[in-house]
Amino acid sequence: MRQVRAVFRGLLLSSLRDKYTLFWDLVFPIILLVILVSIFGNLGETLSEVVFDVGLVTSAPSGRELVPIGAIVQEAFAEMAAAEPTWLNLYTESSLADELEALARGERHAVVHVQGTEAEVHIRSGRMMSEIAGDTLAQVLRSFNLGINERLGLLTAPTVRTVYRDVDAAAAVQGSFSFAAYMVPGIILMVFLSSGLGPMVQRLGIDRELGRLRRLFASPLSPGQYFGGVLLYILALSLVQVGLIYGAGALFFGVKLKLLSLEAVFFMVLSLTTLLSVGLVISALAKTANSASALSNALLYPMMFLGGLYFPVMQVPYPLRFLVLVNPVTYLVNGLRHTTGVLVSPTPHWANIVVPAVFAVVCTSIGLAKFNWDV
Amino acid sequence: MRSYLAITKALLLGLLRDRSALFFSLVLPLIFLLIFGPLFADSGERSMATAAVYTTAAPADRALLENAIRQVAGLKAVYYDSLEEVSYQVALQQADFGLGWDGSTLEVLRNPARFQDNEIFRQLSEGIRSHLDRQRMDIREFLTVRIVESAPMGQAGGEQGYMFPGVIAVGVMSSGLFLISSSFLYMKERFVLKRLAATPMRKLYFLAGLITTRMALSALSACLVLVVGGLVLGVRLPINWPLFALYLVAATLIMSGAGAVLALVAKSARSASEIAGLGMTIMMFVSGVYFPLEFLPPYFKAASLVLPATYVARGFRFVMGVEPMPGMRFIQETLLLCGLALAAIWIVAVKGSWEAE
Repeated sequence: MRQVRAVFRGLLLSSLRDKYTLFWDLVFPIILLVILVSIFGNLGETLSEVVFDVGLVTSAPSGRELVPIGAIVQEAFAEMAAAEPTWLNLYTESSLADELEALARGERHAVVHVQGTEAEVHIRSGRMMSEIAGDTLAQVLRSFNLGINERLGLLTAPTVRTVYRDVDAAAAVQGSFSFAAYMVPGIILMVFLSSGLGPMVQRLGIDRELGRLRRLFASPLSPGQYFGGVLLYILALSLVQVGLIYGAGALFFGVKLKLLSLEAVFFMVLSLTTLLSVGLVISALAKTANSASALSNALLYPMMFLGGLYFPVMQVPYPLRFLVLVNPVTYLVNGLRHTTGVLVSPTPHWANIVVPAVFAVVCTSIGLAKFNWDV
Repeated sequence: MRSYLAITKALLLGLLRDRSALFFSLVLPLIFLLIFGPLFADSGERSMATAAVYTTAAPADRALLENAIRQVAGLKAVYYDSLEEVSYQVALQQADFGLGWDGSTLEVLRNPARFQDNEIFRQLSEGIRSHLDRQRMDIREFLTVRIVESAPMGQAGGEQGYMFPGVIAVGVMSSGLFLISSSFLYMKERFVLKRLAATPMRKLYFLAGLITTRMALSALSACLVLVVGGLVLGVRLPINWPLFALYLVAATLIMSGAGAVLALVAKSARSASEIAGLGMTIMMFVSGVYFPLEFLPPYFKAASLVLPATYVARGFRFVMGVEPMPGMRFIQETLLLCGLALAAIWIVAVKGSWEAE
């Protein structure tokens, strides 16, 4: 036990002395949480404040129309543009050719051209805000049909009412879904993933390459004691990281999770074990520290983004979905979100336990069988 | 010239042996492309959406709903015996959204966790509502609405089109940003530069060689992204090739300049490299690389104005025909940033000492 403590102490002191390691381990996850929640947590609100530059061109009526559509559209759009706050910055003075040129130059998000009973909404393909403006304008224009029918007394029955309701996808800690609460387990899994595949893999590779491990085991320290110390260090680091991430979520975004429930703790332990076992396999298979680093990075990003840490991935198309389904992180984060009360797991609960557990057993077995202390 | 070629060759070989630099400049953009490409695919390119449906309506009204759902493209309906069951399926993400229909009200059940898809499901639901109204009453269509997309040279549009230049910008950012902040300062700390300074080679040649290697890396990264994106994702963009090649050089220079500015404030090669790593992460989110700046809250939008990646990503979108901007503005921005970058590189790498402190 003394040797285990000595290894733990050595690792801890070396981390505490390295301000960069401290930054990436402890501060960076909080920065990432704040950035992601600030951007994606308020996306609806941010987009609702966007003002679209829209050109409106109405061609003179042919005289055959029953209703002067062009004039109605112009009047309605002018009213919307004059409202406070508005989402529409209207340009009505130019010709269609000039407006389309302005669209091509990026000075308009969309151009509406009403000719007779036809309305064309011109947008610039590939420009996301132009496409959003196009969809919004088309929806507004289509709603005119219903309005005119109603005004002319042509509706013979009440129109269908649509009511939107969010299902109770949260396992009811806060009563409703919160993006910040969704992100906290994601960031916790991200730091576990980094612990498993990140610096420890590189450190182990470098220590082995420089012959430090060989020298270490020439001392009375056994490989088991060495790994015990490493695991103890990772466990302590993870505890601090989880505390800091949860604290930041609670402090900045009012997040409350059932993080100390038995099931949640179980999932965090399972996560750490599974991801450390993946790291062990990388250390065992890579011959040099450089290739260990490249291999862990090549796995880290797909596991991170295709594990649903930051956004839902269960509906991605094939063949990407195959990678989602064989990724243990998918099940771990679903299990952790479910047990902390953030979200009902889209994968069966048994799979959230069995798939990572199988990964952990297989990876540990391969890792232990293949791992060499010496280069 | 001979010394320039010799040092460029030597540095290039060194770079090819640096797996970490190769990973971040060549492999990481490809990983991002292959992950985000299908994720950002437009709704039309995605697999069919599934709606869980429950209806208490009379048989005639139920038939209207079935007919309306059939008329909405890309939608499959699965019927359940209660609204609770529908709600449960949506909560479990077994269905994309739910519909409850009593003959007069269409209740749409959404999963808030599907935040990136719910707008598509709302549009599908509105389509169903519109079909229901048309079937129930003889609604006259006074105005037909059509969306006309202008797509130069048959460009593949949508969010994929937007993301593509962003992925190329990330590769260039990575190869440029770490040039001075990491490679140059490491060589300085390890006394490589001190030894080089003792040779007849001019500082400028060495620097030109260093920048040339990174430009080659940027070009290789961009080529890989373009080839893989075209073959695997079928993305076609109306690229202005001569301008694209020139901008690749300019963007690498701009990001190298940004790295030089970091080197001015950092105390060591490692701290410069770590700051560059953090800067790179922040810029990926706050510079409109993967999504438009309009998606950002006001304080991030303001911050994006001082980040070079904002202009580099926009420049790539311009030369790749994704985002229009006035040509003069593009030239002014690029020249100004290149000038600033050259000044920063000059201060750090030419006027600055080559000896470790």
